[in-house]
Amino acid sequence: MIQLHHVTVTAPTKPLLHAITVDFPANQFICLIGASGSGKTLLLKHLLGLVPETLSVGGTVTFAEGEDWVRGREIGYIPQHYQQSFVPFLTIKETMRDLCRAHHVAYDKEQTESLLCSFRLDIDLLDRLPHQLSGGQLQRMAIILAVFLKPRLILADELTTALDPVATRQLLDWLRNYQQQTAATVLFVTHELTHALHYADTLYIMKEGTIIDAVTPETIHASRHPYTQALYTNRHL
Amino acid sequence: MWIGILLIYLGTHSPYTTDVTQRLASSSMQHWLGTDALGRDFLARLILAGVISFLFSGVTVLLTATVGTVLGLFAGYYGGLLKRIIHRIEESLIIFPDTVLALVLAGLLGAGINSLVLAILLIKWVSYARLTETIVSSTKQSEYIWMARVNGLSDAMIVRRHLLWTVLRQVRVLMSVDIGKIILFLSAFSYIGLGVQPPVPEWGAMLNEARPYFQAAPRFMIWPGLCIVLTVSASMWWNRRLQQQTAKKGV
Repeated sequence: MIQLHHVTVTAPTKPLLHAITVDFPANQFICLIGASGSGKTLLLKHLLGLVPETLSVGGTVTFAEGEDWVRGREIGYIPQHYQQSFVPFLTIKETMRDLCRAHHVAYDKEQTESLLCSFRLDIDLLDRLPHQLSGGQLQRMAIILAVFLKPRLILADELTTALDPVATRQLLDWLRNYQQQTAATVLFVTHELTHALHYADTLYIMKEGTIIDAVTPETIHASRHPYTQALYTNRHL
Repeated sequence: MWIGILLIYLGTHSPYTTDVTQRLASSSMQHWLGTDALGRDFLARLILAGVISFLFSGVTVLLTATVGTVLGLFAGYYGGLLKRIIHRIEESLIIFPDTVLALVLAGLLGAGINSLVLAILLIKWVSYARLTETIVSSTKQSEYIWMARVNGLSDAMIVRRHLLWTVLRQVRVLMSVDIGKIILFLSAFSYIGLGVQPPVPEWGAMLNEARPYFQAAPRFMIWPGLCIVLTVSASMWWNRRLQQQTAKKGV
């Protein structure tokens, strides 16, 4: 579905992503796993077409059947630092309406309410400014904003980093259910192998700016790559 | 209510009608602040001068802020040549004090209110452009602007919906102080004959006209002087209030 061919991102002094050639399958919950600094977030930025101008980019990214996917509409993004991702002086509803306006789509009140309901969030929250919402409410709003226009690809960056185990479970359950119901593709960036093993259809292991291995939760134990083996062996530590 | 009363007074007393039999008349029921050397109603002239000062200052500030903000938005968002040009112009303007530069420009462009508007516009647009450019350059690095790009919002939409609001909150603070400054400019330039031309009344011009009668009728100097001081003080007070508000709410 999403084909990356010889993708490279280079800083003036060193390569950050190099020679990534991969074909992410459609309609799957895909986990991109790797240590901090392995290039996971940069790869997501590259898929969004928003690599900083100071870096040089090479290779090609092709979405399904060579279509030109539009950010925000076909590609939804759930940021890691969701608290700062909201416009501080616009209510959540105004931000949603801006999103609709940008993509020439009518604001679907019923769908919004149903999404809020699925997260057990009050509808009144839509009329509040971001600082009037709690951290947990904001995070769920960030997910709602990402899936609001029914994108075909959802990119989630380190979604559960600051969450307790119960909240992590609820959030990932929701995302997994949503992915199955809508047949969207989720590309979930994490460094928690246990989460990946529980939710992913396929895992892509990243190390030092490249994808070194592709496994499934069922086949990971048989991987021959030493880094994958080390990750698997130490998953409970 | 006071403004209403003053405007009604202006409606019933012409600031231009001369009456030589009433030269330098003292306060009376008919002429509340007396008449000037040509027998014109002094309060009516004072009120009209105030209206002119506010209109002139308002229009000039609005024009200057619009030009500077629009250019600053482009320079801050896209950077490049425009940003460099604004920086160079600002650096070269810093060398000369505003008043000296305005004096030279107004002198070159000729006496009159239009020349003064143009001179102030040429000098002041750059401070709005620089302020806007600085705010936009830093705000565009924010996570929420990046997120707006991720969500597919166009540049025009990001500028209009996200950046303009932040910029305008700071620009209005600068505008509030410039209102007073420009009234002061106009008065100073009218005083030396480069601003509003007779017979149109203006506080600075009225001060100049009052010079020969300073000892005989000091009120001709006191009233316009007081009007200038109070107006500029009010503008400064408003500026402080806006600054406090902006600091309280954050950007």
